[in-house]
Amino acid sequence: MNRFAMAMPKSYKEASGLLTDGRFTLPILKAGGIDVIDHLKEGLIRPDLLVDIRRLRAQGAAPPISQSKNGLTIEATATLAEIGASDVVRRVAPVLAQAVENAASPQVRNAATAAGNLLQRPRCWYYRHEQFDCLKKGGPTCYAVEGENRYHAIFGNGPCHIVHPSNLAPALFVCSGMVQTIGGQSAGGRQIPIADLFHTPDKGVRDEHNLARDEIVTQITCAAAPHSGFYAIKEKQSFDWPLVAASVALELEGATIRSAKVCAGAVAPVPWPLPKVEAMLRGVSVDDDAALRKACTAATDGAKPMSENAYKLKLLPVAVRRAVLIASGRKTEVDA
Amino acid sequence: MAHDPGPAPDGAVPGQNGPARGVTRRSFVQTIGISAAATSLGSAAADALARQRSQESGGPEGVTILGPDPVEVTLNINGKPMMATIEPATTLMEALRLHLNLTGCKDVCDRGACGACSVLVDGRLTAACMLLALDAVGSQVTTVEGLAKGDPPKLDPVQECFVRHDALQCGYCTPGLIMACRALLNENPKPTLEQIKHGLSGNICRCGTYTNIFNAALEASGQAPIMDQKGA
Amino acid sequence: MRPIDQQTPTYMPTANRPINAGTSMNDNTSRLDGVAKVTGAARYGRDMHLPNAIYIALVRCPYGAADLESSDAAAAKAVPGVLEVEVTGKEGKYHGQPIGHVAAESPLAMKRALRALNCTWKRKPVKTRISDVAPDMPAPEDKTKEILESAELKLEAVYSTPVQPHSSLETHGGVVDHKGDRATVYASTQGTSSVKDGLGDSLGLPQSAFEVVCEYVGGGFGSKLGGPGKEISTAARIAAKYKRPAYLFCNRSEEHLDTGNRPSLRALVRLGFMKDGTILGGEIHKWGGVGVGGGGGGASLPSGRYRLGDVKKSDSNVSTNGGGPRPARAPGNPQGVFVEELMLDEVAAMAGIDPLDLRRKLVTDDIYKEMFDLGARLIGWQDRRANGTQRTGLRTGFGVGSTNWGYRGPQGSAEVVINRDGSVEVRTGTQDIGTGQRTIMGIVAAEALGVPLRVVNVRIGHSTLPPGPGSGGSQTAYSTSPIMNSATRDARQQFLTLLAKGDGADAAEFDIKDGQVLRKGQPYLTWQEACAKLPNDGVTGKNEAHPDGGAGGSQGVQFVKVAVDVEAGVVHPLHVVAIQSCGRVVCRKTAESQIIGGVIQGLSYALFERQILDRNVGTMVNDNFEFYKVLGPMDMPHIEPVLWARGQTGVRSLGEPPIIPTAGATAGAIFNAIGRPVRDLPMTPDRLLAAMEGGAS
Repeated sequence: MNRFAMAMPKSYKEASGLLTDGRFTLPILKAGGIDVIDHLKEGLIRPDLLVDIRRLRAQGAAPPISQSKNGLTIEATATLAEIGASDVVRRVAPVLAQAVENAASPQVRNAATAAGNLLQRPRCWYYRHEQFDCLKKGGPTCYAVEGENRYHAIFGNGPCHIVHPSNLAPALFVCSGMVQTIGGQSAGGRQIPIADLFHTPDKGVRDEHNLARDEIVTQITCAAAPHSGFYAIKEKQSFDWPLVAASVALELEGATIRSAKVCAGAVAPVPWPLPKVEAMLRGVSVDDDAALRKACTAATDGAKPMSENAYKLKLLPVAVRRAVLIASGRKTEVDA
Repeated sequence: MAHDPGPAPDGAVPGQNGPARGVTRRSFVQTIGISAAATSLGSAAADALARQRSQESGGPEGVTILGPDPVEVTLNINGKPMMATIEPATTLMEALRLHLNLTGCKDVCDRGACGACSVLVDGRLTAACMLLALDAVGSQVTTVEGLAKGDPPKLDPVQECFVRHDALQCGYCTPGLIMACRALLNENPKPTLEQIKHGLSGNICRCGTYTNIFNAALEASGQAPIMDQKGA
Repeated sequence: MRPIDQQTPTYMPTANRPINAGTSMNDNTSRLDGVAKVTGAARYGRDMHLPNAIYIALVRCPYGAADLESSDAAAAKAVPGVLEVEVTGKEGKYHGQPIGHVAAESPLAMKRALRALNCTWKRKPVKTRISDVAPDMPAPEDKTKEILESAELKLEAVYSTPVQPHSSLETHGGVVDHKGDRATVYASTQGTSSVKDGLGDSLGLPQSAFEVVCEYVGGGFGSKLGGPGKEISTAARIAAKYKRPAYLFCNRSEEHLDTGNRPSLRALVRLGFMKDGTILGGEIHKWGGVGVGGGGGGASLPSGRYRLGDVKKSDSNVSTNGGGPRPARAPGNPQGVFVEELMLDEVAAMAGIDPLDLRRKLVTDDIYKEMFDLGARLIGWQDRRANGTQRTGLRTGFGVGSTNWGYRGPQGSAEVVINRDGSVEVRTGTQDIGTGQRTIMGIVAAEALGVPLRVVNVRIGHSTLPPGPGSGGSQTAYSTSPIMNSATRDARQQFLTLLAKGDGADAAEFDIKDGQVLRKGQPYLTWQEACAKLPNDGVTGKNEAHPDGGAGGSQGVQFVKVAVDVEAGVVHPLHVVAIQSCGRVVCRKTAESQIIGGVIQGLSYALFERQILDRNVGTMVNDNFEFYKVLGPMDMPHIEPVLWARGQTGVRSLGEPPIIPTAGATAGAIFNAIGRPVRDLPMTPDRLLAAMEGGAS
């Protein structure tokens, strides 16, 4: 790690001010620190100031997670462990708890924050290795295209082929999640739907989110989604990134799906909504497995696999179907 | 315990020489020494620290800025205050191993992927390689060296059961796995086998001792080793 | 020793391991260094952060093949705290190849110097896979054609296994504590004596002025054999230059890149066989991917445990742009046996024979038939369904494999000292890499002397001790046990002779039992009283040069039961029964641990592990524990180790044999579950799905 100073602001406002403080060349925001420390160790960032908001809460001493009129309010610095263990989350929007429980390891979940999980940088091994001057680092090429791309994207048209690493983002998407920010253009901050928080590489390859340099996520809100579920397919069941993941929120009438929101993870540079699946699920009974399977096959519509990752086309409909079953309280074959 | 870490580690970033903005290392230790008694995040002690910094530094609205030069900190390790002079760019693992001679915290992957450096920070299982030491100031840190308590020290039941069940071979992952078991049992005094696997899933043992670790965790939580269950 | 009761009920809970109870000299002793390891008191080489130490890192090539274009040594030296920067190499032929070093006053300064050095490289084309170098499959030889023509059935298939870095948790390296006129070298090694020999005069000191210390080793698995290596040698050179402690340990990436590995294998199999399972023969061509290593790519295929008829085989080492291999726990065996066991399963499937029956027919030693019978009962083989006949989402599969290991006789030396205060010190310059070697030595000496283990102090891991064997070849326990037994008996004889002499009696009247000295069978003196009669320096026993260990080879079989989530291609291991002979078991707990550990490493190899080199530039993209995947707690099956002591004498090999059959047995189980063979390791979801879709993976 290079030399840097560390600031401990007492409020998000102070933190935001430090990010544009002219006395520093490159201030970087740090909360739980998992991704920032990784970057520091790999030499991918060389800040002269870390702005440490690990201990900040927007609501002061309020609990990190609370139930609101229509759903949940989650502090940006709530840890994944807190979300996963929250009875309120499990009741109001179980997909969130399942998504974070599936992420990383107990050690990481105790440190990593909700906002940090949303805004973490991709795990692409070319991005993470200092010696590869890939597009994301201002270089001329995406090394994954001709190289090792088994864990890369099957959606999106490049030019960069990362998969978005967050489990939480697709889960929030299906619960109509929003982030509340402070700083940036609007003085009072703004509310951004999860869907608008990220952009595809063709809209800017150097970063993944649409926040201003001094804009800080302070809270996350989402709607109640009691019939929601998450499913990830992983090579290894202990501490591994998903090969594909699916988040689903359903409105049910009995066993019949009135409406569905479906978002895939680990398959595209952004959380990848699956509107066609949503449309095909409408009116389907979750107990009509043939219809359910048929709807889920639409998950791969428009996919463009790379040389080594076409297997994800087979996995994605499986993950979506199982997420639907979980969301509706059914068992999957692996529960048997 | 702490030995002289040698000449101050350094390595200037171009364009960023000159004195530290905000505060210098001076008297930091006393302030933190007080705060070490407080355990909650965002504690009054941190605020007190911030106020003091603001007066000293004249920084914007009392923002505490430490470094980049080494600062003296007092970490509360295993119930005792321990001083170290460290740059902000120092992880808790480095502070423990290099500055405080507590090498039970093992350096294996340095990226939070193996669990070998696991310690408890305010009771929570933490990868010490992915936490800056400054972020541990004001918290209670427990390392494997601090588990055995009393005089003479008596092994924690987790430690005792690890030995009895031969839940270790080369022993290099062992401190981290013991801390993970301890954290799990603190949260869940009677975990099922599945919960044990989940709770330990951030730790890697290369020699392959998981079977015996599960048994040790079960026995340490007052349960019979149940590795006789088929498919368990 | 009580033999395993073959009439044991079909399934016994292993909570108290009744299957193994009574098989060992010592059933309940926990390892002697257990407390040190669970409290953090055990200090490994990597933990030796000494005051005033110099921290050293090697400068390494980041690509598979590249020429160094520029480096900024001046900038690196200008980093505060940097002592020296040296770049001597100009070219790299694999990712991780050292071309120089930096030395600094702290790890932080050392890492910053590496960045400041800012090496720029011109990349060159690389070859990363066996198929890049040897793309073609040879045509069948005439003899093979004849065999295939006379056969009722034939198998032609290509199998592959990946490069597997050992991934020891304590990385390679050492600390050289140079004090000007003497030095101590703290090494992470499997051969304390070989480090001392290998350092020669590089410390600028006579051999008598330094010692090598290795009290604990954080894993080695073969990669820490063979002298000081470039890490400790470099530390020695710099320590000698500055007359200060010098510390050099690899980081995780370097450990993956440049400290050895199990080489990859591609095997082409052509076999002709009959419907009754008789294999007529054929040919097996093998290519071992050895990176820049030059050799070491051989695979134990055929193993010799099965009658495969008239098989011609060929072996080639294939050079690629990767780090070279080193001995890896049972070198050449897990990869060869993966091919052999899966190949047999394919033969059985084509012939319509139960794969266990096929093996019963083909095995060359009857011990395996007995082990098959016991293992089949314990795993529940009767529940096995024919290949590919299940239609559920989660399908169960059963597989089996076998292993054996040879015996080369004892070596090394030992001393046993009985002191006047009643303490016993046993000394041999071997090391404990986690196998329980320290404990085994203590148990052997305590038993041979007739005293409780608690009076015995085991001293290992110092080059000043009588030279002991390297921890390789699964020989340490069988080497040192007869040696230790012999030295202990010598000390015992001297002790009793001295006692008898003092009493003017015949030594034959005396005996030691349970820490009591007996005379004519009656309690005579306590151990303390008797030892107090010794001269000041006690008595020291030495071993005879070639004691007879009375041992031989070890054998084993493993059964694996898995559940395959067929839509997702994910394998869930459920149950492994590992039956292993190793002659006389000295310490049950550590013996079982060796078996469990071998199975887990074998499963990890079967399902997860692979070195991934970028095909264009040769960089290992998964040089970490994030994408280099090692089996974790949630991937664990129930593992049931069974120590098979029946009819075997002497202490035999146990370290390596249990890793050998696991991947092969797992491949058989997956084949059984999904109805198609997955012929490439690791057997990841993409490969299972491809296999189910058509043909092999």
